[in-house]
Amino acid sequence: MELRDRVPESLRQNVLILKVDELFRWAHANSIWPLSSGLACCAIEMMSTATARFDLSRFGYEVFRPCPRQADLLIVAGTLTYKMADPIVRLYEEMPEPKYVIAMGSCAIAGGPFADSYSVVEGIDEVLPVDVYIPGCPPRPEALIDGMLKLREKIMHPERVAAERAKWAERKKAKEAKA
Amino acid sequence: MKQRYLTAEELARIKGNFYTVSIDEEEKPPIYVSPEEFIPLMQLLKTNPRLLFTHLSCLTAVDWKDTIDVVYYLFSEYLGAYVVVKVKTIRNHPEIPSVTSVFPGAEFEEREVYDLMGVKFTGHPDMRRILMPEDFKGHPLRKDFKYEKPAPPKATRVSGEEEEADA
Amino acid sequence: MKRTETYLLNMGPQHPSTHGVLQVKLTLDGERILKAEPVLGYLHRGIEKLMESRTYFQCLPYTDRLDYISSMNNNFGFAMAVEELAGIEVPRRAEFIRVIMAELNRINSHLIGIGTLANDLGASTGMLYCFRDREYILDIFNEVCGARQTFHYIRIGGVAGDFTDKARELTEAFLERVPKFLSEYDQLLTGNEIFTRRIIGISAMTAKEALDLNMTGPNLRATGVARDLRKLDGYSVYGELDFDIPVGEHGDNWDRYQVKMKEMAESAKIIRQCLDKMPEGLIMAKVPKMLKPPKGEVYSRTEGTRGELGFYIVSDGTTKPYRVHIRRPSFVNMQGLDLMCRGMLIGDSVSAYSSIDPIMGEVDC
Repeated sequence: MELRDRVPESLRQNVLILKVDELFRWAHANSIWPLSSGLACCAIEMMSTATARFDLSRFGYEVFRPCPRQADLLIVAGTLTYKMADPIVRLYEEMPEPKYVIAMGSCAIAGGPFADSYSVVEGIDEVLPVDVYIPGCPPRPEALIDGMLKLREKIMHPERVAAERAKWAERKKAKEAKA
Repeated sequence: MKQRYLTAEELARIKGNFYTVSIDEEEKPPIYVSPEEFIPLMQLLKTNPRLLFTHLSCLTAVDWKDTIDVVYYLFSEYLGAYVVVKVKTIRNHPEIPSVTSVFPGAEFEEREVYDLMGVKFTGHPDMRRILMPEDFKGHPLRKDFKYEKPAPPKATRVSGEEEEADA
Repeated sequence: MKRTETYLLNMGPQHPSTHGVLQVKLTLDGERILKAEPVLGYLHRGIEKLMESRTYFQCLPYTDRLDYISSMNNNFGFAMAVEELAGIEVPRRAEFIRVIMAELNRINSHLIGIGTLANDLGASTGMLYCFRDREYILDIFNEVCGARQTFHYIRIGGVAGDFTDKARELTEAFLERVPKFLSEYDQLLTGNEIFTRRIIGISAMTAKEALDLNMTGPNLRATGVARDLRKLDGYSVYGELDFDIPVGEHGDNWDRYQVKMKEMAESAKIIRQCLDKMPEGLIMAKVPKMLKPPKGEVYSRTEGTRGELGFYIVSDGTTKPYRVHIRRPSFVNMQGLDLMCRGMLIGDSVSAYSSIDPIMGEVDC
């Protein structure tokens, strides 16, 4: 007999039966704490998203933390240069598990208009595994919200995240072997 | 908007005191000066009560493949005009005296020119790279600058990889 | 005698109160700052080098990303430089539209400046208010060019799209809001004792110091020097418009804040006049598809939101510039940081960063 069936009929509407893992995931997915690490132009749109008109707090994601120890999402908003790459890696490593990365804007995805510059890293995924890419230069706040909601789905399905990260690691290894 | 530049006449009057100053007969004549006489000339342009070029508008350098010109745009509110001063440097060892003794506000711009163009300013209080990392090789704004992007830094603890190792 | 040692504190590049990726090395004696050395370059993208391999038209979008919260002013400056180089006459209607856009963007930029100053000093409500009012400006930009941030609207020879009736309606509605929200900020911030005590008399500098350091823009005007290129050069149609240059007295954070507040009101005045004076007509001059300016060089400057924004372009007669140098006001103004922080407490350095209002995209270029 399933656990679910032992709940009296009158309480079915009020009792939720699920694994602890699932409960944590559900709670996590609805209260992501992003790190407030703006790099360039996209940071302004990230700030707009958090303020009155777009109001990211409707989704429970407004708790921008300046300290990586308290954050679980790194929004890479802007152009990543070689000089800044080390600090970003360090920020990422300081974040506690489970952690996620959003590449916001074309610079963070692939270098954007600065891809052929001598000082720009061609995308954050050269360095870190990215979970959600948000295109645009800069993406509108609606796009960022959509990206966060996509991330929510991913957090609910950790097997997808793991598979994608494994793929990323493989690609990276192949690239290193080539070089 | 068309700006007023010093006329050839006015420039000729400045030239009087200097041996190495040469003036090209162009639309807006720049003053070419040798590095030796450069600081006295700037001092004169800034402090002479009939000139008063007190605002250093723009400081940069242009790579002409055989020489590197350092360009100064000075603006005088008193005359309502610009004067353009250029110093030619040898490309292999570009070195000119720093203008920070006359215009203290040139400090960052000179460091930028040093960083990106490789012109050394003697007498500068703090001649280091300002934009690029200190271990960077080469000067990006030179025309023959060739560069291969280094491998980006590696994250040592990536969450996906750990899970893979456990499995 | 007690012996004390100085120590070094590193702020940034990831720090809640340094704007963007600014890093500042503070040498401290106890709580007092002896020296503040900004470390730049974390956002150096090599725009000057990239422009050498782009055509003049392709260069324009890069100026958007320089000072990314006053893109219109950057577009304006670059377009003016190229027009002077190539001898292009801009239609009169386009000039008025440009001035409207530049001034709207100045308000936008000052709103962010004040909002982040308030936020850094702990008044996060101030930031929410500023960002709320900023959205109304973005609605206008959205109407004329469809973008919220990197506009690419002011083009070489004119503007990209006409100033529609809808845009006029939105602008007029916005102008009505300006005095309302300014008085609201006065109630919220200017009269707030916690806020004022953090900025009055902090990080003061004299006019001579500011002029020596080549500072421009609101940072210079706060010290009492009424230098504004819109008045001094009277470029575009600024010569025909009537507006004042607000100046400060002591050059402290309070004056910098006040100058920004007053400049917003002046900008609104300029926009009002432009709306009334704007003639009908073309919005784009005839510009060749392959723009080849004659050999030569040009230095053209405008009053950006943070000071003198100059573009130095050397042309070798081809479609691509031989060399572009951008005189970025934020970059030059950063030299004042050391002076402003010296002798202050660590907490006051935060308000110094905010009131100098640097945008790292412009500082590092």
